[in-house]
Amino acid sequence: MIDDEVDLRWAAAMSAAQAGDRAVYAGLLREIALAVTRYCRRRLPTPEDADDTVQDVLITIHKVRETYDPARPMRPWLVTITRRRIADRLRMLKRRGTHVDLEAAENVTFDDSRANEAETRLSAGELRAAIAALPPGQRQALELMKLKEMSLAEASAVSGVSVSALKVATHRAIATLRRTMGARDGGS
Amino acid sequence: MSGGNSLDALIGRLAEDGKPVKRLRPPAVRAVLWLIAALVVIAGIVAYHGLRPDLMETLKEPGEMVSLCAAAATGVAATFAAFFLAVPGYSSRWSLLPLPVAIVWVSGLGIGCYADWLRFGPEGISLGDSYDCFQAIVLTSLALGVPLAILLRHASIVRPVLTAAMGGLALSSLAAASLELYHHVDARIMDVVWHVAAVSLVVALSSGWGAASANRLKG
Repeated sequence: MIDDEVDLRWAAAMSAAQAGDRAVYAGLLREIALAVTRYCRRRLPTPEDADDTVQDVLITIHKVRETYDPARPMRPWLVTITRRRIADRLRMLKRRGTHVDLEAAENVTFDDSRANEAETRLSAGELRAAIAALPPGQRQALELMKLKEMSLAEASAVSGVSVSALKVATHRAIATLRRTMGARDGGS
Repeated sequence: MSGGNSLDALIGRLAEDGKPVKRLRPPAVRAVLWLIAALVVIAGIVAYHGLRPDLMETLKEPGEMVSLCAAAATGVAATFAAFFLAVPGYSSRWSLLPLPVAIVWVSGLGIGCYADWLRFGPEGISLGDSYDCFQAIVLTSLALGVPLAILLRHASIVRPVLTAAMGGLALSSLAAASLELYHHVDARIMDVVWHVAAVSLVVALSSGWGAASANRLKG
């Protein structure tokens, strides 16, 4: 969510906020809101859900700001609060009947170093051609999830395909791309 | 509630309300302070009942000594776990801390119970005054539980149920350990049943309280 330099700066700002510096606190909340918005938008189905969750996160931070110890990194503290509020939002959506995959929401990107390695070795043109050659279902899943950076729930809402089918299609698309590109690299 | 304007307005309101706050002491320090307070309450309860006359005699038996020490150690470990779990940013793995000593404690009760069964057979299963143990554990837990609940209230943000369950385990195991100082515990089957029932009840009540407090906070 944030790097070490930002972490140190935010820790100092939160320390000042705990001492009552309202201007520093307002600035810190604005910065946190930006980072948390990015984090939430990757994990919640709609931008509106993400925005509401960001507000919940800020209110929670305000209520428990005395629990932060500036001697410790800010990231785990902030991530714990944010995840908790995201989980609450997902549960609420599920109760309302919105289709969400709680497990998938925690894991919307693929940590496949071999796939990433292959991608960096390709030119954009080759990649586009390889994607165009994918079966339609795999191509759609890949475009929604990896190129348009939608969460599984968003991609599912847009495409009408279930979350589990999308996961499978995306994995298969990446496997197909890896095979195609591997063969191409081997042949060149 | 969406949109940039409402977010700006919210940040404005929160910042305006940003009065100085007293930073929470580290979890380990708060756990030690609560344990000292709990020790004072337990000392009061034991003083009220008076130490059981056969205490020194009983503690010469390794099984009894292990049982008392394991119950107390479970209480201390669960207290530390609860205080760490209550603060955002600490790992959920803190909940594993009391596990090894809790296993020793519960298996100690089980072994005592089994030995009793071998000695007395089915007659060992008597209700006797075991219900007193149940009452004593629940009442002592309640007395210690109120200050603990206040100190752990921040847990409603992060892990309300797990923290409250650890708190409940801390309360009931400390209460069970103190019980052994003033009440003769037979480790007969019914004693064990009442012990486990009391501990489970306190843990369940605490977990329910944790879930309810989390919902209140969101409102």
